[in-house]
Amino acid sequence: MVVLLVIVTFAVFIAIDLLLSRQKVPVVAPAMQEAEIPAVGQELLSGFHIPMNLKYHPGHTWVQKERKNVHRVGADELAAVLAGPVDRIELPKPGQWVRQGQKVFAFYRGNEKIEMVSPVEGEVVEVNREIAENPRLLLEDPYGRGWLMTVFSPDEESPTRNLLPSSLIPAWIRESAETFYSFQPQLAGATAADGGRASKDATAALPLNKWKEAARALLLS
Amino acid sequence: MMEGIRRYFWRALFVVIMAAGAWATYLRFWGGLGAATNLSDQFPWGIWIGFDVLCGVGLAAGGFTLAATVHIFNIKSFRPVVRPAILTAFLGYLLVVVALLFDLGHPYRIWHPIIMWNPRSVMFEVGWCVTLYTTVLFLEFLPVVLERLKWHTALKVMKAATLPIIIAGVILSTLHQSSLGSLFLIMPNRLHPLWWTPLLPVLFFISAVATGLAMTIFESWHSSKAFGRQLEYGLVCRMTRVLAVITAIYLTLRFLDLSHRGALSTLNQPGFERWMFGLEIVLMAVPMLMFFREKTRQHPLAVYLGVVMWLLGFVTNRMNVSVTGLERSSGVHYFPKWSEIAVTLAIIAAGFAIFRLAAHYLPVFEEEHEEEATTPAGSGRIPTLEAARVPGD
Repeated sequence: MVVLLVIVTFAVFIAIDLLLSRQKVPVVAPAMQEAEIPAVGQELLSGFHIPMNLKYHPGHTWVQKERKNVHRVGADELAAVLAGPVDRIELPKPGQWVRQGQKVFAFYRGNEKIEMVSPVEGEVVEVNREIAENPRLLLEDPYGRGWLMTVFSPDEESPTRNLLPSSLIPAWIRESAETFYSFQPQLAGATAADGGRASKDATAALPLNKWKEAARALLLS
Repeated sequence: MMEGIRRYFWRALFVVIMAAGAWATYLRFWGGLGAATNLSDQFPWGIWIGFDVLCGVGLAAGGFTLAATVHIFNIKSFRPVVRPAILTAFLGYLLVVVALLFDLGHPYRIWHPIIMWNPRSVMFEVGWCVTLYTTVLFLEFLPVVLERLKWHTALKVMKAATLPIIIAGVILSTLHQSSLGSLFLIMPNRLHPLWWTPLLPVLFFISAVATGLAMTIFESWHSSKAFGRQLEYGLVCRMTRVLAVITAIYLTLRFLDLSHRGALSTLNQPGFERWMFGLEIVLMAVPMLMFFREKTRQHPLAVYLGVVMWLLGFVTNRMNVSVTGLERSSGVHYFPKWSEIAVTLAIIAAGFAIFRLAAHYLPVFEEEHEEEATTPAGSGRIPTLEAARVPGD
């Protein structure tokens, strides 16, 4: 009977609290609303849209600080063009701990896949279910609706470690673009970017083995 | 409107509880245990021991569980919840000491075990563990106060001593959580076979670790509501998964032990023990099954209710060990007097109030920052493939 007395007493207190504060649910680390997503820059570098107000990992993923300790992660346009029209995107599970440089995303064409690495270390808070259902978003809007995951990093400093200093981004993109074009059979040899945009199906003529080789070289996977 | 009702309801209730507690305290210290409790020579331990001490210590287990997770196993993602957990543990232990002062026949002799040793007594070990671990918890919580006072030199000294203090805390609380189980090992003929087992210390320890996680989730939920903090849900989800696994281990051990000892047959005997045992198992098994489902983990309210259920299951277990399991052999039926309940409620209410004050005036929800060398931005070198790769990847 004593047990019941104790249990019922606490159950009553908790029920009253829930009843009185039902309007007041805890603020769960929120999924970002479309309206809240800060506008990204419009800079074009070597034919690719590379916003300069984001941070980049050498593996062509971008990082945007969402709030204290939470970062949003996605693939930059070069990676999106390289992946091309994919059938399926595999994302990590929420709650999974990812390390910087660990392979966490996979883009499939049929049974063949290329992988991308995580730019930051931390715990996956949320993944973009929309992109899992509609992989075309990766190409259509890599910095907006095509984001991949958000990561909670308990350490304020480490997420930005090993990311590219902004002064080096143009040179890095130029180098990456040259590497990317060198894989294109019809573009063999040196080509100069002339201010045009990279085609969305730039990898259409690329044989699968070359596609995977280019991904390994550029996405560090 | 609702917010006003909520605020004043709890404040009014707090005043009522504290007033009743004050009256009960007067009765206890001026009239003695006989006047203030329904305890007797046949049944000397009531809810002050069964709930205040056994459950209080268990519910304070978040302190050592998370301190070990973050500082010893170096799982940094749990850092945001370490300080609240240590504060809870510290308050929990302080209030356990207060409860002991009520229950001891001669409370003014509480210091005797420190001087007059009886190393063969389990109670001696329990007494020492409470004393030492409360001191350690004070030292673990001290940096928060020093940070608030901006006493940087003292803070540096404390930070240098963090690891040995944490290790001492983990050892002491492991000893203490299990030795509370050992207390009941010495009454194999008195405690009902559903609860008496040579594994009691191990079972007490495992369930305490799980309770530490459950309490951390419980307090994160309430803190986020009370102080408008964000509930780091990813962290909560991870804790519920671990909680489910630990519960599975605990229940497996529990039933293997029961069947090994042939105690399961006692479930056929009439009596309220089997119902209480059933209640305890259901309150632990249901949340475990809930937490194994990913769908449940996506609903904060379901997670909270699961955690509450688990905590009630834990309380049921400790109360069964200390009260239900002993009633039959003692030959008396024990039900606490109003003053025992009032003291218990007052102790819990005081705990909540102090936690709230501490959270308001001290940097409890701010993470401690470890100074780590960082790569200067713009170091002028493109990070190499090696820098981006993780060893062993």
